[in-house]
Order: sequence, then C-alpha cells, then structure tokens
Amino acid sequence: MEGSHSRSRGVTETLAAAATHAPSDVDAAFEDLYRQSRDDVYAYVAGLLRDRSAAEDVTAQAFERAYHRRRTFKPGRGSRRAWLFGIARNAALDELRRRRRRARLVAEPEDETLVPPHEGAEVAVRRAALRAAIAELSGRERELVALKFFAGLTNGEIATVIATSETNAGTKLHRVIQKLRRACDEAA
Amino acid sequence: MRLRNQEMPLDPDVERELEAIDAALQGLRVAPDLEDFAELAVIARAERSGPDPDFAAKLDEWAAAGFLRESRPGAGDEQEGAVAASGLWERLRALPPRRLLVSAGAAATFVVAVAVGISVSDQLGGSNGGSGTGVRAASTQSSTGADGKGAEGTVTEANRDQIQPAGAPNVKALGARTSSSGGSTVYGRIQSFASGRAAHRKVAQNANLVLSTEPQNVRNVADGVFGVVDQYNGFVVSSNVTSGRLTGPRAIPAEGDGSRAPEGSGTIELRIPAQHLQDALGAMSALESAHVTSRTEGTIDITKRFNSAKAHVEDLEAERTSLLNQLEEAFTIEEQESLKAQLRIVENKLADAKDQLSRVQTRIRLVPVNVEIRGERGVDAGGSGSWSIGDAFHDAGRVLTVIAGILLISAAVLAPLGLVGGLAWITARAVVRRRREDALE
Repeated sequence: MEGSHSRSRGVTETLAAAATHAPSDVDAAFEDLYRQSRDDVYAYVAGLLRDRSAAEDVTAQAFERAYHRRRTFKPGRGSRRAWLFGIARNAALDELRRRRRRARLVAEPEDETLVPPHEGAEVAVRRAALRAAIAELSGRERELVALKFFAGLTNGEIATVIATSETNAGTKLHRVIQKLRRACDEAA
Repeated sequence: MRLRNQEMPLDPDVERELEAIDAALQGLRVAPDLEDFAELAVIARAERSGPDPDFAAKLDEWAAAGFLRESRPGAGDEQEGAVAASGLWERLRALPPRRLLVSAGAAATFVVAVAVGISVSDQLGGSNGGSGTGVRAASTQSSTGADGKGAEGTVTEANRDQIQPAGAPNVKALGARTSSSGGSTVYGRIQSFASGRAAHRKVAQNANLVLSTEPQNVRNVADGVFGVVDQYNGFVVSSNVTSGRLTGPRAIPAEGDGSRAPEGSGTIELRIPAQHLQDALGAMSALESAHVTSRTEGTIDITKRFNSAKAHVEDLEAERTSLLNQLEEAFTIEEQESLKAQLRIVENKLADAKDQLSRVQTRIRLVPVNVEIRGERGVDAGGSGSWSIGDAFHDAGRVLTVIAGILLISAAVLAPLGLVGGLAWITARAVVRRRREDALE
C-alpha cells in the first residue's frame, strides 16, 4: 500500500468495492484500527490542542505517519491503539511546540452546541464547572483527561502512550479525577 | 523508578474508583457509593469533541487513497506549503529506524569500500607490470630499495627525480613510470630529453637486474642476455652461469631469499652504451622465460670529476707547449737538457691525465650493468604463457587478501562513524522527546 497504485482496498465501503487485490494482514489490521480510532484520535488531539483546525491537521498527520509505519508495530510493546496514540501524541506535541514558537494561541471559544439544550440546570452547572476545571489543568493533566475520557483508552494503554508504568498512570489519572471532582462539587 | 512503580499495586480504593470510571465510560452500572465518579465520567465524556463531518469524510477518502501526502485533509493553505517542504523529512521519518540505519550503513560502507578499493587498486596498478608479474612487481620496489646502495649512489623509482641532473625537468612530474617487466622506454625517452636539456652535465649510470626463471631455463636466459649485449654494442666483462637441474628434490629455501632457493644461477657483468641502456634493459626484461624480480637503476653526476680531469689535461698540454717553445729558444746544452727533462715529466703527467679523462669518459659512455639470473622452480614466467592451478590459488589468495583488507579498513572507518552516529541519534531522540514533554508544561 505504498501509494494509491498498490492500495487495493481502503477503509470505506466504497474502497472495498474497488478492491483488486486481497489486503494483507497488516493492512487489514490498520484498516480496523482506523475505523475504531478515527474519532477517538481526533477527540484526544482536540482536547490536547484545544484548536479544531489544528486538531484536524494533526489527526490527519498522525494517521499518515501511522499508515507509513504500520509494519513497524510490535505487539509486544502494547496494543495497536496505544501505538497509534503514541504517534498521535508525538504529532500533537510537535504542533504544540510549533505553536509555542509562533505565538501562544488563545483557546477557541467554547462550543455552545456541546451543551444539550434539554439538559437540567444542575448538570449544566456541573458541566460548566468541569469544563472550567479542565481548562485550568496543566498540559500533562489535560492530556490524561483527553486520553481517558475523550479517547477512551485503558489505563494500560495510557501508560504505554505516556511511557510510564500502569500503576503510575493510574495514580496520576486518579489525582486528576480528584481535582475535577472537587471542582464539580464546589460548583454544585 | 519505573520498575518500582510497576511492582507497586494501586491503592485498592483508587483502583476501585478507576474501575468505576471505566465502567461508566462503557455504560455499565457502578456501585452506589461510586456514582459521583460515574457521573463525572459521563460529563467528561460529553466534553469530547467529534470531528467535523466534512473533515471525517475527507479523511476517509484520503485513507482510501492510501494517505497520499499531497492530498492530506485538514491542512490549511499555510500548512500545505510546510507539508510540501517537509515532504522528504516526513518520508525519512516514516522509514523504520532499522531500515534507515541499514540503508545509511550500506551507503557508507559502499562509499568507504569504493574509496579504499580505488586506493588499493591504484597501489597495485602502479606496480603491476603484467598479468603474470603483478604480484611480484609489487615487491620490486622494496627489494630495489634494500639493494640500491651502490658505491656511486643508486637511484630508485621513488627518488629518481631528486637526483636528476641540475636543470632537468622533474621526470615524476611528467608522469614517467618505468615498467618493471615490460622494458618500457618512456622513462628512457624522458631521460634522454632531460639529458639533452642538460648536455653539459656528465652523468654516470649503473643498473642491476635480477631475473628469475625455471632452473632449466637459466642457460637460455643467459644466452638471451648475451644476445641483447651484442645487439646494443655492449660487452661482457665477466660472467658466471651455472645451469639448473631439471628434476630433483625441492631445494631448502635459502635464508633471506624468500621461499625459493636458486637452482641454477648466473651472474653477468656487462657494459652497455649509455644511449642504449634503457632499450637494453627493456630487452633483457622481456626475455622469454625470464621474470623480472628486481630492476634498479642509478645515476650520479660526475661533471665536476670530468671537468677536473679535462682541465688537468688542458693545463698539462699548455705546460707542454710552453716547454716546447722554450726548448726551441734554448741556446745552451744544459738549458736544453733541463727543458727536455721537464718535458718528459710533463708528458708523463699528461699521459696519466689523459688516461684519467678517458676513464671518466668511458664511465659516462659505458654503463656497468650487473645481471643476476636466479633459477627457481615454479617461477613460471609470464612469457611462457602457461598459467597453473598454483598461480590460480596464489592469485585467488591475493584477491581475498585485498578484499579482506578493504573490509577491514572499511570497518575501521565505519566503526567510529557508526558509534558517533549512534550516539548522535540517541541524543537527538532524547532531546526531541524532552522538548515534546516540555510542550506540555
């Protein structure tokens, strides 16, 4: 699948119809990974960058890198999702570094459409408090939130992505959750 | 530190709360005392941003197309330029590090091997006088250097240009090279040119030639040498030739004479006219069945000696003329007798001086050449045209030796380069990782 000529099938049904060659195991695995992780990767990157446009670019970049390195995946080093999010993390951090060099980007205004209009007042208050609390978190803490709640990774996968032990990742994550809980409780 | 953390289990309460979070994220029910965790998880999950449908569709199309770099979705106009500019870098980054290292290592090995190979082949080529004599020719220089200490100073290929007659062009600089076996006259022609430019200089030459041949061919080679001497109007001062044995046990190698002992030998002292020296040496080197083991030529400037002898003759002739004039004008017997006695003394001195001058001129005109013929079994000179399996093994061994040398030198060059490159790579990775982590601060 080095380019369009050799790719015989894709990740969509349209592509599957145009297939002329049977996909290899690696390509099939990547296709599954893409389908399962597309939105999660975007959510993680967007949560880290807080910039939709940049998140789109970094997401695309992450999948591109992952696709070209798909044969380098080592099952012994963690799950495919952890491997993919490791690549996405590097791409996102590179983007953060670029933005830091250029200028500190102001976080995008909150998307009001995220708050369902039928939601109860108490939940809305807690949601606003949580959003504010997340905004107050450090970059490392916000990354843990993004990996856990936005991307839905397990603690083991998070540990692999941020290159630490599962216990350490769990401990860090728990601290962040306690912070958010306190913020929500205070708001309530 | 990481190992210790891995070994330490999480606090049970913490672990329970984290499990409640996971359960809530999966839509499962949690224990009543952990419902606030579940609620937090649900609210936090609701903060998740989904991709724009247009972007998602473009991303799917792009994925279907095989993630072609130029059609990446999500890149703005400003970023497209950057994407194009960093295309090569991205391609390199997409390569697995191991493959990148292997490729870089292979390229470096190739470059070093080619460089070393060129260097080695140049050395071999510089001393290779022919297919059958190349290996031996490589040792000619060393033996020449060891032997080249004649009474009048022997000049080897390496320092020939340093002892050129004053005013002569640098022969080396003109690219002259004497073939050790082929009797090339290039050097001779250039030397003649140099001699022409410095005709007023008087140069005495000498030469030593060592020829190897099969024992049974010693006599033939000696006859060939005599023939060459006749051809170029030289003469043999002395000769001592012993014919070799055709069969018999292999001789024990003589000390300091390599692995072969002479079986039949000859020593011939010659005088060759200077103007024919190069041609004669070339002809002897090209004798059938003969193989040049060593060829050494020397020159020495004896202009001062020649001029001194010539001036002495002229002085004595002037003195003689003066005495003759005085004798013509002498009146008394005693005076005449005295002048005659002086005249005899001067004439004796003049004869000696002329003899001395003649010897110097002869030394310049006739070059002493010592030819040694060694009978050695298995020499199989190139002139015979045969090539045995032993030669094949010998040549193969030589080729393998050269290849091993190239690989060894390549390894010597690449090992430190690889070490430095590896350290640089590790350092660069650590720096990049550190900078990325700093981006989260």
